[in-house]
Amino acid sequence: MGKLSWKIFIIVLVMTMLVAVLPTLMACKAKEEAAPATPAQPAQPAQPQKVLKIGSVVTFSNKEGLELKKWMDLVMKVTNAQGGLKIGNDTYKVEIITYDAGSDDAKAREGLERLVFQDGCKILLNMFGVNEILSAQICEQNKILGLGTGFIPEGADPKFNYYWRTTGIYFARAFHYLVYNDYFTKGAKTGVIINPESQSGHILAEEYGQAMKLAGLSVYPEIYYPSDTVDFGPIATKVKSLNANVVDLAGAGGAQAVDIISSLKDAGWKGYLSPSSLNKNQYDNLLQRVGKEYMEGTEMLYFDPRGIQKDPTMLKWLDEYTKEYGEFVETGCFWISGWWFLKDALEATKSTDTEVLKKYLDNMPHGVMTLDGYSQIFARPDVNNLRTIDCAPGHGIGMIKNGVMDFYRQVTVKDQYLVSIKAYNLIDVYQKYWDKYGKPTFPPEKSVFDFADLTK
Amino acid sequence: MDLALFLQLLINGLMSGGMYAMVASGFTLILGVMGVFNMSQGHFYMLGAYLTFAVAVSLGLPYPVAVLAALASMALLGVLFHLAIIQWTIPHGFFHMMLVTVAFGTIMTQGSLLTFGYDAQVVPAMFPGSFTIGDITLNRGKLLVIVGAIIVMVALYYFMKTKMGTAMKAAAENREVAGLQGINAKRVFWVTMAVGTGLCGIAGALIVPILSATNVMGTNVFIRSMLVVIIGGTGSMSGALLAAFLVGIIESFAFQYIGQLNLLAIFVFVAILMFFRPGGLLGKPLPIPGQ
Repeated sequence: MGKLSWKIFIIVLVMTMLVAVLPTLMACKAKEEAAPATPAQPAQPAQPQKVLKIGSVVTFSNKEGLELKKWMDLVMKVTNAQGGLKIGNDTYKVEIITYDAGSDDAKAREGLERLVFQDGCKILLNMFGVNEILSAQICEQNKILGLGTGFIPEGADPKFNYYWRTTGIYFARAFHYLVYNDYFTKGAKTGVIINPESQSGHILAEEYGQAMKLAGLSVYPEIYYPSDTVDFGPIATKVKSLNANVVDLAGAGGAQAVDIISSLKDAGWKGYLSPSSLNKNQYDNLLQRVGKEYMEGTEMLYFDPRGIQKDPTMLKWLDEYTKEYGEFVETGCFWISGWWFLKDALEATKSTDTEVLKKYLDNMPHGVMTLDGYSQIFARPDVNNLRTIDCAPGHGIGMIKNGVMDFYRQVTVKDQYLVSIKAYNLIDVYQKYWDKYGKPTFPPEKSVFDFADLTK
Repeated sequence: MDLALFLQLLINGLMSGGMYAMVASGFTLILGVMGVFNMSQGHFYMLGAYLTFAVAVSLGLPYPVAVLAALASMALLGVLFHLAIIQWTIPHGFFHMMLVTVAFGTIMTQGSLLTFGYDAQVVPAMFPGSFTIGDITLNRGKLLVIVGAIIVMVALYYFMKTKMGTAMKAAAENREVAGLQGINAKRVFWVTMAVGTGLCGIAGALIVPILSATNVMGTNVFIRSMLVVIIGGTGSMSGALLAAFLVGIIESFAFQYIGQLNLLAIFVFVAILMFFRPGGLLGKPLPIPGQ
């Protein structure tokens, strides 16, 4: 290397380090300031000998993925600090190995295969941001358990026998139906769904549209926008020109949802909003933009489970999160649900054997408590999949009053399951299934819907 | 289409165009004068937005101070980038320069992620709310972007008439000949870099009360800026201005009628334009790598 090349190399290196290290130090400093003082740790229980290896691949390039990793690290730390996980007569040390899914299938596959072939994981958990089919295929080929996400129809295909959708959207129409129905009662007649142009965006729009129709609203053709949209003014103008009464931002991400809603206000649109996926931080940003009057009466996901959760075990976990990380962030609470299903299966079967666990999960007759409330997996006879694979997640609905979100109502597992079936016009298919195998039982919570409402 | 809708779409287009104009002007200036295809141009815009947030919200200083801080710090960062990296890479050719700008952009994105996190950041509007004229709703923040872009472009126009501006144009025309005329190319280059990246800083600062600051905002706007440069013509400031507003307006109107395929309308326009005018509306064709 010549003299000049060395000079260039050193300068580039120094500049790179300066630019990269300064923000890192600032971030670390901020973290140090935010972190509470660590109390003296009590004596640790004796560590168990057996290890339960669980693998996960999540995307580290978004908040959901990072928060999910934080939750998995916390689950591992707290469980092991308590002496491990008791499964039958043995106690296991839990080891959750997490890799970055990157931004493409190749990186995600690399992570999944590393977990299976190199790390020897027999269980994969919460693959957020990973192509669902890829996860299901890896599980199927290697006969290992996968408790992942459910966003696309192909993920429920009966050809996959080792994959469960313990977080997902298929049986989740009651949430939106109840919101739309409230708006309909208040006078709304028409609705439109705004979504990013993507496969999941189209699926969400179709499913949400069915809930809108069920609530009595006339639905305009969906508005899709490219994921690299810079200005949302044209979208707002289009909504205004349609004169839609209800706008649902079904799959619009947080920052985009904030910009779309503020563009709607800028364009002079007035109506009922359903910003499904806003978190607390994004909502605060939105308030700065549009003011509390614009959001008054809006119904949306109740974002902080600490406000509605009554289960002491889950409250303790929520408390553990705050102790470990300082400020509470709700983003990962929903996506960690797979862990509670797995824990239930491990404890109920008293086994770590793949086939034993599979048999249990395939016929899971009850819901499990998660951080956001009960969740339960059900069979999908509409796609000839009779294993209990697809979850109906419970959710809280919040309503904005004077700029503050109040808890409004709980959407139960039973509501989600039954309304989804009705919205999708699948009553006949499911009735045949129930006639043959019996109706499912639901968690002990008060629901709005019952089987009799399906035919009303 | 009724007149109100037409005017509303036009205003949307002008607002987007104003934003593209500032980023693309800097991009075309650096490309035209220095021959550097600055892939980190959008990242300067992103960092400008984040800095505005840091100054206006975190430090609580007035918004105009934040705008000036974004302008000054991005110009300074651009100069440092040039002195530390670009000037040493220029002799190694077009692709080397492009690659170091990609690397620098990545560092800026990661640095902003570590500093500001994954959450989008918003800055309260200096002039909040909207007003209506007939059926048209005009947002004050958007008008500020349009007015700001015009002011910046006018200032740039007069700057290009100064001795330094003339030297920049001369260097863009022919670097060797400009050197023979006594023009200090080194000085011209770092000033070009300062102006080019400073424009991004001011664009980010003006837009952040309207659009949330996110780590992907730079990439999104950069794609449009490249289209603006292709349409306007490399190195042509007036071409960039004209093309920026044209792209914004096409995008706005196209969304109303063909929805998410609106970018396609711009590409079709580019294809037709390139067929008849390969150098763009008012410029020369993009430099061919290696020549």
